[in-house]
Amino acid sequence: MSLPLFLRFVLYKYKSIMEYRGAFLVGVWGQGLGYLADFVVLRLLVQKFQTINGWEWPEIALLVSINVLTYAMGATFFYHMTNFDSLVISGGFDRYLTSPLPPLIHLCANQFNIGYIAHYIVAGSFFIWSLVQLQADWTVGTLFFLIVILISGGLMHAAAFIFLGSWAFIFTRSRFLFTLYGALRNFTSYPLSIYGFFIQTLLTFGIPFAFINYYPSAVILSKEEGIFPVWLGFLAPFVALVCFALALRMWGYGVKRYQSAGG
Amino acid sequence: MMAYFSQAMKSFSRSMAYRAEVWIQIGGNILFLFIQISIWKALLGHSMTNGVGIQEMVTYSILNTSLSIILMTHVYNQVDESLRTGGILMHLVKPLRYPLFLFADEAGKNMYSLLFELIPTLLVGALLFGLQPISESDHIIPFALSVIIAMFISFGIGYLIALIAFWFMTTFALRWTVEGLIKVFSGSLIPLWFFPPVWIDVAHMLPFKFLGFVPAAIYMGKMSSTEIYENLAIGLFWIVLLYGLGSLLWWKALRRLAIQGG
Amino acid sequence: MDIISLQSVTKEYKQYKRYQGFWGSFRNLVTQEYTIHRAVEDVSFSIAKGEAVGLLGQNGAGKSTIIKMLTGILVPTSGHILVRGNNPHKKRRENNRHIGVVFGQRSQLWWDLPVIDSFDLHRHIYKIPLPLYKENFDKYVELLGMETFISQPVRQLSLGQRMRAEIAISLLHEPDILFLDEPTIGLDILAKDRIREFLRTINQEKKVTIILTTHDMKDIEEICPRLLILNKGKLVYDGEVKHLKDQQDVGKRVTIEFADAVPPVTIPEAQLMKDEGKRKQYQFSRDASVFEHLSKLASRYPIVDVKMHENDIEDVIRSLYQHLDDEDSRDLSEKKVARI
Repeated sequence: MSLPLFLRFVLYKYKSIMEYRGAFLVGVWGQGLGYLADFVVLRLLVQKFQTINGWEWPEIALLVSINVLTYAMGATFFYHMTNFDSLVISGGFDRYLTSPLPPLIHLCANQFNIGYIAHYIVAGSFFIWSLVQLQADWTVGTLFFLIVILISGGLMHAAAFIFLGSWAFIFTRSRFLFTLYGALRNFTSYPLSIYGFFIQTLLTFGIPFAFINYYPSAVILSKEEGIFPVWLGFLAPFVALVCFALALRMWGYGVKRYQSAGG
Repeated sequence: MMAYFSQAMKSFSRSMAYRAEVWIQIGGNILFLFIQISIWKALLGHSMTNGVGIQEMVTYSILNTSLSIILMTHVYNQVDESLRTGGILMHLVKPLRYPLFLFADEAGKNMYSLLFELIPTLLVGALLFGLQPISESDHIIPFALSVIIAMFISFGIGYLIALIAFWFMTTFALRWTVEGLIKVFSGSLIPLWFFPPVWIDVAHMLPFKFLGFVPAAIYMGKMSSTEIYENLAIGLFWIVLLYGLGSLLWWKALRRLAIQGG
Repeated sequence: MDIISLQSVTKEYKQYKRYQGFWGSFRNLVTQEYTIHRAVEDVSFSIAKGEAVGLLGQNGAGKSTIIKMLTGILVPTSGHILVRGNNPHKKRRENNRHIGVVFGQRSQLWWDLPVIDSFDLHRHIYKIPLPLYKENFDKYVELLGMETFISQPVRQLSLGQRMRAEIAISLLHEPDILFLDEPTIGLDILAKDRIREFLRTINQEKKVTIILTTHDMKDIEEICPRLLILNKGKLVYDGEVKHLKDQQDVGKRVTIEFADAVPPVTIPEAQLMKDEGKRKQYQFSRDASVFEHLSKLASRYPIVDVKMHENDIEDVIRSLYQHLDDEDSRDLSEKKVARI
């Protein structure tokens, strides 16, 4: 699989979605409004209380927009993992085993999701707006760090999708795991410091979702709070790579199992 | 009459088949509740704002999270599906009134959610976080009434959105828009008394406040008697309005269906 | 040179005991009890380059398991498989470049796009040089009569049209082997003919090795000179179709039309297959003296007409399956006896 080939897939995906242009645009519009509502709710809260645990509105906006943006990045490539259990059950996965391309990459190409435009637009706007508002000591370094954060956050969401989807190889009923994933994502929409010891530990050392947006944001904003040191934010890319590698391991294990056990 | 009742029973037992997923739903609700309470703890600390302290916000959150379980209308899914597959024709051929059929179906689902999702969530939430008892025993009946009004309004809104599908084949955008409005103006995440001035006025003009705020406020004794009666009356007004619109649109939809042929 | 060879290949599955109900799902997580199910048992055969082979067997006989092992989807429990000189599991992706796969319901075509777009994407995935692609494209479009719908979205095509497109796309990259799983199922007779003719041509002209699973005997007769029959995981026949006809004890099938409606009559050395009152169909065993029996019958019940049927391959196969089933139940009852 080469980049030009992948882009060709994306182009054809775009073409096939455009067959249903109306429904697509309507969906984008609807999603955008839904996310806007989330931001509005937060705005109202902060307006009343000035801060959430010391986080002001632009800072909250930064935190949430990173969460949504990185989720959109992961989902653009891997949302199909949420339906993967049906593909395995129906035997449709065999199609990917008989192609010359690596199955996971082929899946991503074939099922590339261009429907996250609303996420990118709404969250992207708030992201840029909040950065402008915050006027932190912007250096090339900071900007570079932000880009790395976004990519590593995307990788972590991707890792979650792959890891959870791979469960379909072992247990047929794996869809409920994604509900759990959604719930945990909800936690990271707010500064980790509002939670007690258990949650903070869970999201830092157990299921390290706090590395997606919380620790990196806290580092940028020079926050001093929480149980664990904020410089953990610098470890985010490494955590992301480790998680992604683990997820790929899980996937490989799942494929091997599928090949010996059938389906 | 029996036909509608049996439909309610049918959708009730269909929901029963998805037993295992209920635990996950309840778990999800509790997690969601937990997040909300954590936020309020961070915001309020040990002080009071607008005469409301953390214990009361806990109660408010538990009530709203629990109520929202039976205020999630599924009507438009049903109708969308029916329209797409053409199954709607089957319904129109039977000697049933489709709107009532939908209502019965929703009632069945709600009955199930009430018993197996709402009550457990409420109990677990109360045990884990602490639920205050109702402020005054006089408020029990108004509270119950407000919940019933909320359910009718929820169905009414869903029903109107569903009808739009007869013209646009999809309810997606409208659905997300309304859900967005509900997210903000139902007060389920933020009580109306924390809203900025203009927003409060807007919120009172919309029917969404009944989908969480009003019942919770009555329960917690945050409304004077006059306010309670006022709100109940306005609630009834909204029901009449929504169902009036609903009937009109339904009539028009039938005509459109007859012309279009499905 | 053999392009495919299987040696003593066995595929076993562990079937874990599954419990029902709510508490059952917890037990399922911890249970280790299982039974072994042999989908394929000690199968050996080789296929030379350019052969066309049909794979036959009742449902659950192991046909798709064998195909899956040949295409690298499944790994055998024991035994050796070589496809194109490679282990199909270890060199899966490399082999995939040179095989074509047509698996019925699992389509390679993009539902909402014109057929030609799927073809184009295929060209890039398999890195087919443009001149070769054009040559194959034109040839297949013509042979399969796809001009009328090549630019239509797949969702608008009939089953027959879709099947033709599926087969065409799987041959664009000049594969050495083409695997087909029930390619003519659900098609009307004209579509079937067209596809069979195409596959025969491809096999003869391009020397593409063809492996075909089917329930339709006509497919085999039209395309595959060689037949492999599987029963409960074991290979029970490997050879030419005509030899099978000779091998099986299949006698004449006769339709008798009586003057009047007649009760079900038993004829020695024959089995009553169909009873339509006046018309009855009998299957005689191989060495039966048909005419003798018929004249005896005619003396009892006046006969108006008699028709003899050419025994076709379906009868042969049916008789084979019947024979095998009888063997199996005999084995089972023997085992029961043995246990006592």
